[in-house]
Amino acid sequence: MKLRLIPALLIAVVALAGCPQTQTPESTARDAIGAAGGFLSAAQTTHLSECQAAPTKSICVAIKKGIEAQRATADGLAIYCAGMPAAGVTPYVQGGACVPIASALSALTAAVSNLNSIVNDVKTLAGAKTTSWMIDLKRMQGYLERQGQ
Amino acid sequence: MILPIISIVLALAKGLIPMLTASNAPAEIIADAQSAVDLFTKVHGTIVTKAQVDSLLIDPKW
Repeated sequence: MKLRLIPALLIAVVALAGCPQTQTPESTARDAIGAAGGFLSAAQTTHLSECQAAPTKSICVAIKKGIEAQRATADGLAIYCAGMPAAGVTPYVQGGACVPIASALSALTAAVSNLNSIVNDVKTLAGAKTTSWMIDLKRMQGYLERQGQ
Repeated sequence: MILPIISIVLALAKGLIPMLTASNAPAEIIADAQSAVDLFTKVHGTIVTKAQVDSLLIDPKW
């Protein structure tokens, strides 16, 4: 069972610990979404039979909350990136690059924080070794401070 | 700093797959390792796009 979580944990550790400090909020949020997806996907596979039989078990509820938080973070990212692009440039929702809206940053930060917190809960419940998922939040808070918000 | 780390982890993850195959590990474990490599490659693109983010989302199975 532990073997199945190793690849996801490997990804999470590198995504969170190895990324440069100059990461933008949108790439930080994307990495959190990706790392959470890898971990939650592995956890979902590991606990599939027990959670299909008893979906109200705490680990099953936590995994489902994590999936919802992952989608909420993607929604928050879409709002953050929905700024007006230059004339003739494709907007984010249609496949273009992120155009940040500064006022939406705090909501995105909160969504990433919530996602990391829930994934930590899943890790604890699954008995996985806990690593620091709060690095993403600290990076975003640092960005907020630098922007004077 | 980041590139050597990425290279090492990718090499380890890629090396893990044939090792698991050789030891007759269950198919789902091998699939997990493969998906981790794929996910990692997707996640570390330079530009964030909606299609990229959507591809990282997972669906609940219960």
